[in-house]
Amino acid sequence: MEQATQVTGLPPPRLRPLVNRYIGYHVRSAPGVHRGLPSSKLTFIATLTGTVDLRAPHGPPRRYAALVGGLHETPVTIEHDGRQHGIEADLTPLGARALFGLPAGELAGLDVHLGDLLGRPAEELLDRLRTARTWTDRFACFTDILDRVARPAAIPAPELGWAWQRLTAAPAAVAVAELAAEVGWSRQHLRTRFQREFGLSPKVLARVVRFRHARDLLVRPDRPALAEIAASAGYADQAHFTRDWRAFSGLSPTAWLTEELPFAQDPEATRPPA
Amino acid sequence: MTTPAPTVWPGLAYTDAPAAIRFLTTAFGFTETLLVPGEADGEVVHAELGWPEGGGVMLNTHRVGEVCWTGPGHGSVYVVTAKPDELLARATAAGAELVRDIADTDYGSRGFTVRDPEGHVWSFGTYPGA
Repeated sequence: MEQATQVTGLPPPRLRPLVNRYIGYHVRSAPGVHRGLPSSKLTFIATLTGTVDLRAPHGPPRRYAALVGGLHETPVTIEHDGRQHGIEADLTPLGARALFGLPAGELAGLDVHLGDLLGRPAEELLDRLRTARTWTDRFACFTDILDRVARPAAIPAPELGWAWQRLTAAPAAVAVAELAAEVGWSRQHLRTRFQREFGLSPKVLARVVRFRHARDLLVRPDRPALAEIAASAGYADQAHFTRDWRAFSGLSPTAWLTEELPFAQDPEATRPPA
Repeated sequence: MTTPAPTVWPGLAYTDAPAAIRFLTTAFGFTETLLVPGEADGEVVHAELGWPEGGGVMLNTHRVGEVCWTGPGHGSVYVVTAKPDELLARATAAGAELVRDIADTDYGSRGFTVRDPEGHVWSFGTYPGA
């Protein structure tokens, strides 16, 4: 008895530089694990019931009613008892600065209690989300709290913003050497400052972006053949695709599909006809 | 599941779109699938509600001067359902105003018509279309 609801919400235009979208989810399935995959968005999750339990390789799981996860380059393993209910928001690096006063790089590879970053508004957010009756109302609560905590912020150098845009804008990869030439920095200087601000090197971010592009093709109901996905996402060949997929998800593409597809319904695929 | 994605979308405008979404999900059992809020408090630029038996409706906040989207109280939607009796009980319990009581028609459909709080007219019936 597997049931999954997924509702996408786009924040109002004023917040979109900080938060690309909200995803409300309610999944009832067999207990298991879910793999959080690397992406170019920071993760902000507020649960409506239960907790998000991250399994560490050693030691007890880390449990969160609400958390923020920085950019990461390996999968995050989430254990669940079959009921997952909450809202996830896709934060941009500018969002990390505006909402938490931190560069995204400070959160890279980490997961942090929302309360440690936001203080009282974190509790208020959870209380209000849990009493709201519809996703529409919950997205409105989210927007309300984010509006209150957001402070004016900027990425400290326009060169970094440019490099981020270039690497995330299109599926076609831009070489790091080319990017360094465009901004007028040495490759080493670009790499160091980029990684400090965002938490991933330009090269790893480019790989993550290509991986997400392949993932978007892989989760489509009319999924093309793996070799075709590899080619259109920009991989040298299917072996290259499989290798990167393993590095980022911990599984081969086929094994990943079998284990994760119930959770991988791409909300982009049900976008508005408007 | 080979049902194609819906390609015809009834569109409705409401003065209070968040309240309308609460009503349509509670009274009729639509499910929220997409929400795009606007700049103003409570403004909904675009929302989509799915019908569990297939298809869905779009709605937004009514704007004065809108030409492609009729205002509150002007829309009527027919929705196919296999369970009209249960649905009528649910809808009226949630405050839908009865316009035409549940009845069997000579073309083999069983259904009813109600009005939502902003005046749009909703008919539900078992007739699935020719």
